[in-house]
Amino acid sequence: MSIIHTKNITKIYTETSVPVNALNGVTLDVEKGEFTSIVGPSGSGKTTLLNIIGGLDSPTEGNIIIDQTDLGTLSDSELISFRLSHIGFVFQAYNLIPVLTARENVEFIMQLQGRSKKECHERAESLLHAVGLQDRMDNRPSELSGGQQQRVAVARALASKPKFVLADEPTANLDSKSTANLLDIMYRLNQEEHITFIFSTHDQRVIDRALRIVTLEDGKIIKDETH
Amino acid sequence: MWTIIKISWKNVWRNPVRSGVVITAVMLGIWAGIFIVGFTNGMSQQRLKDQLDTYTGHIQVHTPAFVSDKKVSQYIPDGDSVLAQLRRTPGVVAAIPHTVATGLASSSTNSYGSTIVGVDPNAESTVLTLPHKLVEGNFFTEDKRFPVVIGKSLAKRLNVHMGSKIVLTFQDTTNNITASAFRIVGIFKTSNNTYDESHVFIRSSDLNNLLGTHDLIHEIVIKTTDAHQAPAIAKKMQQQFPSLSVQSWQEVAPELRLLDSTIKLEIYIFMTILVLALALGIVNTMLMAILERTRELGMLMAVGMNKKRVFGMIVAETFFLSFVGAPLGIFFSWITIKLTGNYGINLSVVARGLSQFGYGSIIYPILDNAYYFHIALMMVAAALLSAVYPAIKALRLRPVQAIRKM
Repeated sequence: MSIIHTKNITKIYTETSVPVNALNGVTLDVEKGEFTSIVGPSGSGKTTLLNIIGGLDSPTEGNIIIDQTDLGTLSDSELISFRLSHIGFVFQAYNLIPVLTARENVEFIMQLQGRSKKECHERAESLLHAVGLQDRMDNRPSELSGGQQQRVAVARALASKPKFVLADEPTANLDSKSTANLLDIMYRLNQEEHITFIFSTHDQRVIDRALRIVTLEDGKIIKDETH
Repeated sequence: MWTIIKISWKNVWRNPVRSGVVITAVMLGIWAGIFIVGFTNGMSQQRLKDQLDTYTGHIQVHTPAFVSDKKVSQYIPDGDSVLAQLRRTPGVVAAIPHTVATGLASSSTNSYGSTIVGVDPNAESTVLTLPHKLVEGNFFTEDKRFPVVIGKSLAKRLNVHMGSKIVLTFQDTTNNITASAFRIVGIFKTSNNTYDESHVFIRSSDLNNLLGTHDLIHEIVIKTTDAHQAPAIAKKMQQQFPSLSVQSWQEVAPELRLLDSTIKLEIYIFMTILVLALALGIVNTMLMAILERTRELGMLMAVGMNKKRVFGMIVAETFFLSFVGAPLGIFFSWITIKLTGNYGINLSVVARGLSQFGYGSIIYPILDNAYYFHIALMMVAAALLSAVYPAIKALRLRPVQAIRKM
């Protein structure tokens, strides 16, 4: 059974003078443990699709069902709780909380879930260890490189034990070495712990490592390949 | 909750200069505001006390006719008996009799309209402090013929000094003009120039002799245990002596009642304006902070921070901004008011101007502790109010747009 099921998703932005058809009847199923890249040129609808899957935006038409829950039936506050418990996010610009250390950034998500201090502490350490930042746990984001910050973001995304992780162009701001390092970590987590990752990217280095590639163009899926 | 508070506290110090400026502004604003309130309150309380102690007393008793006409013939019937009974009334510390005539004080060079007050030299200081306000001479302690004590301002107007003679002219009980020369044995100075210019004091025995009467009492001035209890005591006295006019100081000097009652209102109005001004500064800072952190707030909401927590975080940040500076401001103002309240602030440079309005030249700031508590409560309310708008702005952010904001 797929953990993500989108059915005939259409998204039309009407804020501009000319309505923009960002997604046009996208139907997509993602199974648990996939390592999927959503690719396509700029404006193809990658980020829009990711935002809709993540419950950050709502479709104009169509349904999005995650773990048997239709997101369209949830209220705003229910959607926030749902995101907290089901979805991990990795953003292009890292978006860590600058006043917290790496450890505190990871713990923060678990604290929002109401987990015990001990559990937060232990899991944060374990996750930061898994992303190779055991020596930088008490550093603030400003004291970390871009690659290290993105690894903290991955650890944070995993902290809530989500059903899957959405990563919007996670390597866009990273150099080659950091990109390779980050992809290694995510791939290992996918292979060893069966964590589902879905990327939006046009970075060939990410596309090369993906096990499934969904290609979008003009808001439609034009190709869906599994490697 | 603790996590939100911890993040809020750290957020406050994200831009230490900006937060420092706001916190300093709150501290200085509260400090200066409370001190000015204490200063104004001190001035008013001093004026009130000074006037009550020096010449008004807490309660005055006259005949109703004397209150409006001030004629010598309108004396209190059987004054000695009334005085004795009033002295026995519960709550009364002391009561003194005055014989009063309205007339003219003249020197060889000038004349000035005066209220001539006949006093019992031994009893006067039990109620009023005028005998202690002498800058020269004494208050009838030497046995001289027709001694008079006048105000410094009047002495200047009449161009007289200690030992000079002045002539007091007034009507007697039969409406005939009578006059006599008096020698100045004392010169007083109160904080009220107008009073000093218009009142002269002689022994009541001398005044009664000139009026052709014996022990006439036009006015009884009473000191009570607590000035604010005077209206209640006056009411009882009025029931006891329905034919007389018994007035508390609030009725004798309505301007003092106005001063006493409006000063509290003025304090709250002034502090409300000040606190609101500070709150607007805090609102501005918080709005800037939210604008700068739009992407971060979007991320927080995206990853699952609910609206209640976002709201709580903004409110907590606003509280921290307000409540680092406010207690310091309140503490410093308390210290400043205590210190200046003990030693006084010397405004002798503008003493003449202050005196025209009945104020002393040394001001002793004073403020009840309750005001500090109320001002702290006002700051809490202002902090809450100033948190609402920025917090609503933050809640209106859409994560999907906020995350992409540069």
